Amino acid sequence: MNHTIKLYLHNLAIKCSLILTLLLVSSQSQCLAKETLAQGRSEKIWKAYKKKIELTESKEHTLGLSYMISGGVATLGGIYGYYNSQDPFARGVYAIAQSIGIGAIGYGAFTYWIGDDQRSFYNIIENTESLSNAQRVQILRSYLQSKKRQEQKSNTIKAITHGALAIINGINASKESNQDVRTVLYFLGGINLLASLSYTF
Amino acid sequence: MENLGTVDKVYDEIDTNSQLQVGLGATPYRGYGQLDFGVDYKKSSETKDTWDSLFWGGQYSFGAMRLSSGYNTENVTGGISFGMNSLSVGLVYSSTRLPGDIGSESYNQTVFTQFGYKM
Repeated sequence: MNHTIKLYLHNLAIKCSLILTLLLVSSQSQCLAKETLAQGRSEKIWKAYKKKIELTESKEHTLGLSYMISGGVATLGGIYGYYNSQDPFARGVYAIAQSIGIGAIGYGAFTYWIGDDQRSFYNIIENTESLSNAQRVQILRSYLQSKKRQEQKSNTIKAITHGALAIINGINASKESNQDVRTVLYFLGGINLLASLSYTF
Repeated sequence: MENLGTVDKVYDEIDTNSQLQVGLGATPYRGYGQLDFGVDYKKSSETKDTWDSLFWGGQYSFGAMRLSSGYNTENVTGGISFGMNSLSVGLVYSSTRLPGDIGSESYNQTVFTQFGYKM
């Protein structure tokens, strides 16, 4: 009798441990599946961001090249015009063309080789090999949120600045006795009001 | 609509009547630069028929450079301009038909430099 109870208890213990092991394995495999899914999603997001950056980089290369070539044309045309023109206004215009040309070459080179800050951000994160894709996506989310907040603040500042300019031009216009000056001031006020509204909505 | 609103000073030489103006534009190419075409319909008291009211225009933008041209039965223009940030400068050719006797046509042809500042 005693032996039968012992055997029964032993079998029960084996069954329980089997059930427990099965439960543990099932829970572990569920966790593993969730983790794999999250990793897959992170990899997908990071790959999509990589694609977006590569597209932006290609566009920036085209734009940069366009600015460098057109800047070269403006500089050479400006130099030719400056030394072949007698009219002071035209010479002034050609001198400005040279400045614009050199400025365009510089802007083009910057756009081609450096680009915007998103490209730098991507290169830093991509070249940090110790980071997993999940960590990269987490940093990317934080970076984009911060960028959005910065943009919102910048728009608010611009809206307030243009709004203040609209008010001051409107006040000056209402007190101006000269009709022509008043028209110009109202015009400036209107433009600034439109600019302010465009940054508000 | 153009010339809507009130007029503070009336000049006989300037037509201040309200005028209908409609425009249509298209961008057929965007890659190394951008090509734009447009046509404006602007009816004024001086225009005789529909063709006179049509203003055709095209522009090719490439980096800091803009190549532009315009055509109307009375006027032909073409120009090149360069702009960075707020500044722009350009060289424009314009040929305008002058009103005269029927049969004899004379044109005012001008090449001028231009300077622009964008606010």
